[in-house]
Amino acid sequence: MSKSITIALAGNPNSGKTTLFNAFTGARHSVGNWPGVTVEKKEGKIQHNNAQINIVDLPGTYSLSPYSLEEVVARNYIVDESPDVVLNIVDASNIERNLYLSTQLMELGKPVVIALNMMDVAEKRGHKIDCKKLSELLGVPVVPIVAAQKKGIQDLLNTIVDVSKGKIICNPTDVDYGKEIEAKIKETIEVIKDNIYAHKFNPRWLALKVLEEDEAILKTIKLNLSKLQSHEQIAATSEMSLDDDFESVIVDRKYTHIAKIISKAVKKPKVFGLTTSDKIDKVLTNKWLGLPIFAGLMYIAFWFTFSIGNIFLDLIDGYFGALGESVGASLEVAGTADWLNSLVVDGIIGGVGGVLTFVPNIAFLFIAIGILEDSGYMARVAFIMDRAMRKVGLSGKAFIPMLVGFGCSVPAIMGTRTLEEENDRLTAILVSPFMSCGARLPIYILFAGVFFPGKESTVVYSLYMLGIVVAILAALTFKKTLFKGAAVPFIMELPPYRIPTIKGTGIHVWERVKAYILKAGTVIFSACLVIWFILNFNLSGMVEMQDSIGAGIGKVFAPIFAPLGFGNWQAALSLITGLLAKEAVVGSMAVIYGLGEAVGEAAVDGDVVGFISTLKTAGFTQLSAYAFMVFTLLYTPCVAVIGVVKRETNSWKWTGFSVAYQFVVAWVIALLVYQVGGLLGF
Amino acid sequence: MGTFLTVIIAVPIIGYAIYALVKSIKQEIKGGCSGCAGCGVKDCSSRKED
Repeated sequence: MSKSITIALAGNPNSGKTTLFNAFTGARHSVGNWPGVTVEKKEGKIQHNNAQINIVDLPGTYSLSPYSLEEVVARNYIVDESPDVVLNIVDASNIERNLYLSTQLMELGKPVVIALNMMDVAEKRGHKIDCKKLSELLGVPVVPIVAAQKKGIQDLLNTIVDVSKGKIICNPTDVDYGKEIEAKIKETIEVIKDNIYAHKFNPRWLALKVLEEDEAILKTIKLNLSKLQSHEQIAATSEMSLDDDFESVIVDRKYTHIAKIISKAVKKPKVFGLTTSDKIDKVLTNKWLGLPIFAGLMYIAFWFTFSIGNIFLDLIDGYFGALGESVGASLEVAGTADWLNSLVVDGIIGGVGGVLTFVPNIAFLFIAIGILEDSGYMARVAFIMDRAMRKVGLSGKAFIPMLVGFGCSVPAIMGTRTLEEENDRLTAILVSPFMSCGARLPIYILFAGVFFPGKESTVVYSLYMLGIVVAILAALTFKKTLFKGAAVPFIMELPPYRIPTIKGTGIHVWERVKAYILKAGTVIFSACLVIWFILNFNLSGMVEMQDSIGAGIGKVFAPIFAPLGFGNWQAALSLITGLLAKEAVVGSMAVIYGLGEAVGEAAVDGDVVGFISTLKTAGFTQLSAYAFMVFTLLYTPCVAVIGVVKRETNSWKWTGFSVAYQFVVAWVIALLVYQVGGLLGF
Repeated sequence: MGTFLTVIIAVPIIGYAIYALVKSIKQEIKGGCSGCAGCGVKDCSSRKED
């Protein structure tokens, strides 16, 4: 077998890189109709014509200038790892802008193959692209494909293999930067050619970076900026008679080069009027209508989650109740020990079953969110929110990871890597966990279902909105105090609206549901057993719950929550277990309050009397239940999120701060809800 | 008989719970999440598919 080939998949955000990666590897990674889906490189392997091809999917970038972490990740990989082929995926329907990155990739000096994706969209818009001509003008192979339909994939793989074997030679056309700059490039190459750190770079590209005073590159080749500026030959910016700053001139010349190529290889019809996407945007991103429409769509998403999800929830409720009863009866007949009966019925069926009961609602929430994502609407939300975010000193780009937080705070925090400014990134990391993640939903469903029957969607909707408001207010506070600075300009390409596919949305939903079920079967299972143990034992053996270790722990912390309306040990212990995983709060309550039994009763009686009475006995009222939900929405996130905060900030100080301040914010807001609500007579 | 059944049922349950707990702690140490939330971060050590 011939040696393996490594290809790096590079392209603009939302150009279809992940779709192509999936088409190559048969993987089912999440594909988003919005930028920032891939913030880390991911890898896959395939066999093609006896060659093993290792594919590395790099984060989407518009350029290779190191303005954000994703651009640094992409650039460093290509330079340091030196892949055999750089596969540049170009959106054929947006060819000019995409070719800007292509020119930068070609300048790196690695063999480049261009996959011209979304040819179907380009053709629909009447764009006629002469791929052969384009390939000649660029000096690299150009292969037309439609990644979503797996069209052209075999041709593309053949081309990649041929390039890697030297059967096809890449001879990229240089951008003509004009006499003055070209002369400077030559001089700079002469100056840096003996630099021992420069060997891995293409000399022309490196010379350009030196002339641009790219700090990361200067640091890599150990060239001091002040020394550089005093160097007569390469002090480019000071002596040249350019119309603009050096970097802008470089960008301008690149686009001029691209425009020349496009004029020869692409024919576009003259556009009259607005496209359908433009017309929809006129309404959805309208200055005044944008926010109310977003709020309205979110409400519909929650209405859908509850009205449809609850039908299935009732069925699963009944199933676990009946299962608990029959298993309990069977164990009793078999004569097993009482503690085992309790472990299986209350600990496992009650605890894990209590968590699994909410699978339908989780699924329906993510169907709704998946449709909004895949249609391209979520990208508009960042644009709509830009105005509000700008007022707090952040750009709408910071809202994208926050939106991801509706699913899980871990990728939300990872997603902050797309933010250029370190202060903005830190602010976004600190506020993202306020966005209500999917794991908190079961807590809301349980409490809203019990205390606010018929108004569940409104109550849960209010919590999600509260999370957004608190996140924005917290960002405002940080930007006014710890991380002062103006918002960086936000330029974002709005993807065209697409009709969500069943497959695309299905993958989103399945990933979430599968993860939820797996979590219930592993971490939550263990947690429920530990909780069952500490609730049934103390040092003297099996005891009443009131005298157990768990009750003891809960009683120590319960006074902290007394002013918030839920100062009982049961609630305190549940909240502590929520630090492991938020789903564990419901699992704990199920074990503590014997909700498994209550569910069984509910299934038999046909109502939720059991639920209400058990929670009411514990001292919960409508108001304290709402305060409890507010607290769980905002308080310290689970250990996985704490871990990712540590990894991304690389600081115990900020991690500790994140844990502490979120607890304080949650406590204060839940206190206000309970106390002010009480004064208002709720 | 009752005691025998108790042991037969309890051992796998407790054994699995310990296994799942230890596995999740190991995941945390390796830099993954204790329970994969299916977030889609591809380099995460919690992910095993693909």
